[in-house]
Amino acid sequence: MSDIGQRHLILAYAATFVIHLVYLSFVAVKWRAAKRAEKHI
Amino acid sequence: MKLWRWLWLAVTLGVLAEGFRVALWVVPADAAQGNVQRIFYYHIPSWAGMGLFFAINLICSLVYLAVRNRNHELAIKADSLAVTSAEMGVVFCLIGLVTGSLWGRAVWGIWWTWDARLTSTLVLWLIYVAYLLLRRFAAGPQMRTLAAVMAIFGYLDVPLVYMSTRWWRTQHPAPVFGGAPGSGIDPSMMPAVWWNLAGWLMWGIFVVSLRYVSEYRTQKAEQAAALRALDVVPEQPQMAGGR
Repeated sequence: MSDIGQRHLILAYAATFVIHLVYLSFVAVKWRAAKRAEKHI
Repeated sequence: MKLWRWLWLAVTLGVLAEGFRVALWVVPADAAQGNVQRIFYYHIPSWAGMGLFFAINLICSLVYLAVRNRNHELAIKADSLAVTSAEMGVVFCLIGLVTGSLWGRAVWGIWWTWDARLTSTLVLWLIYVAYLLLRRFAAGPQMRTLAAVMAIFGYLDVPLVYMSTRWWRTQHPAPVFGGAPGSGIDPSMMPAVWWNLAGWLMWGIFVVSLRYVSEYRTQKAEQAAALRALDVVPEQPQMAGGR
C-alpha cells in the first residue's frame, strides 16, 4: 500500500481496536465489581 | 467465563482476523480513492452494530415499561440488557464517527462538516451518552422508567440518521447499499464487507453478553440489599407443580 490515505487508513483501523479494547477494559472492571457485590449478599 | 463464551470468542477473533486480512490484502483497492477506501470495511460494521444495539435497547426499554409492575425478574433482565446494549451502541457510533472523520479528512480534505448525516449522527451519539449519564448519576425509583422513556424518544433519531442522505443534499455520499439504481460496490469487494460485518457483530454480541451478566448481578445485589434494608426476605422461586 502506498498512497496519500495510507496514514488515515492505519489510524482508522487502530482507533477501532483501541476504542473496543478500552470498552472491554471497562466491562472487565464491571465484571469484577459485580462478582464482589454478589459475594456480599 | 462459561465454555460457550470462550468458543464464541475464539470464532469471533478468527473471523475478525480473516476480515482484517481480506480487507487489507485480498480485495482490490478502489479505482477512485485508492487504499483509503478500505476504511469502509470498518466504517460500515460500526453503523450496523450501532443500529442493532440501539434497536435492542429500544425493544428492552419497551419491555421494561410494559412489565415493570407485573414481572420484576423480567423487568430487571430487560433493563440490564437495555443499558448494556446502549453502551455497545455508543461505542460503535463513536467508532463510526472517528473512522468517518479520518476518511473525510483523506478524501474531502476536512475532518468534519455540519451536513445532515454527520450532525444527526453526532446528536444521536449525544442522546445515548446522555441516557448513560442519566443512568449513572440519577437516583431514585423512577430513574429506570425515565431512562426507558428517554431511550424510546432517543431512538427516533435513528431513522432520521438513516434517511438523511436520501432526504437532504449532504457532503456525505449517497447510500452505497439500498440506494439509487446502480449504487453498491464491486462484487469483488464484498467478501471484506461480509467478514468484517460478521466479525464485529459477533464481537459486539460477545461483549454485550459479558456486560449483561455483570449488570444483571449488580442489579440483583442492589435489590437484595434494598430488601434487606427493609427487612423483607426475597421471594424464593417456586418448584414446578409443588405447593
